[in-house]
Amino acid sequence: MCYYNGVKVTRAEYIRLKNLEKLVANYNFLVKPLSIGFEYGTQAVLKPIDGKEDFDIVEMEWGFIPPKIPNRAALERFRKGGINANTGKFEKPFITLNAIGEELFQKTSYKEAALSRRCLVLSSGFYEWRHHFPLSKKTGKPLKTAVKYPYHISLVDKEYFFMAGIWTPWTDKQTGEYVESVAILTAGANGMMKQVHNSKERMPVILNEDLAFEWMFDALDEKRVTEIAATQYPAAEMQAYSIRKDFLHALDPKEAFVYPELPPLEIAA
Amino acid sequence: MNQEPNSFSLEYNGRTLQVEKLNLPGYRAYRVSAEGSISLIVARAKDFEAHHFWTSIPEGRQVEAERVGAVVEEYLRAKNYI
Repeated sequence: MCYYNGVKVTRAEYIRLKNLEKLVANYNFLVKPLSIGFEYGTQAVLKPIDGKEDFDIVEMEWGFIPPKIPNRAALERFRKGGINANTGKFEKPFITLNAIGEELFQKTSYKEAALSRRCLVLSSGFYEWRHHFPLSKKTGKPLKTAVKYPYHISLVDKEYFFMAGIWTPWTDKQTGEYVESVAILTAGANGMMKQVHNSKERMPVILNEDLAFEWMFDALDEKRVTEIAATQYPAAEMQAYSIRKDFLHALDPKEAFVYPELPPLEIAA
Repeated sequence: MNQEPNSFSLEYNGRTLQVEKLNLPGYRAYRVSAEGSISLIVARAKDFEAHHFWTSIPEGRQVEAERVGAVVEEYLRAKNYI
């Protein structure tokens, strides 16, 4: 348990009240309706303050930047891939928007962050693409090429929620630019997310308030980090609906849009 | 029940308090200002035993928050807003 203003409150209430403190400070970046990963924009992140059960809300660059990357040009190549001018060989892109929860301790840069630089990414919802294979008019069998439909996903009765993240500081050795970057952890999809994100069957690690508190403030060992990183938020407490395919340019990207040809999601436990 | 306005004023101990309703997720909260005083944000939170109490956002002004929160709540009830 914790004390807020001298009154004994639950951990969940404490973290909610602390969150309100940040919200009333009028952070403009909290009102962004959606963050688009591949634009490598910024995310609102709850970053623990050393030695305190308190946090700052800061903006971090989405996409974990390994310390070995010397400058922005190298980072661009790292993220997009391309022909290496020295070797003439194609180098594949590395996507570090998300970190696979089960593999946190298999990668050196993630391991250190998982043990000492955990954070929470504040979200009001996210989107994923559902792959649907329409039936062929000739054969009646599913076509081999999927049609993709975007879905907006959020939590029932929660305006904000927390996704587990790891962050790292990075300095551009050429310009001296300093940024903090973050990766959002993913876990295996629950019953609902298996239907929505059916190409990869993954989902962000969404934490309830108690787990969020533990993730940020407690000294966790590798075993406990791995356990929390595998959290699969219950499908019954989540909701998803289809949105317009051009939602990225819509005035309200979260507006529901019904596709008559798309079968509804099945209720998942 | 009447529709609660987004802002209103009320008299308390001979002073006029300006009250603005804040749209904070999951909480009933108000910014309360009075001439000559630093504005105070009060929110209705739950204690460890699930009893409601008024508290200041951020921490530090609990005594004021309990008093001002109670005044605002009494006003809202009298006007049949809650």
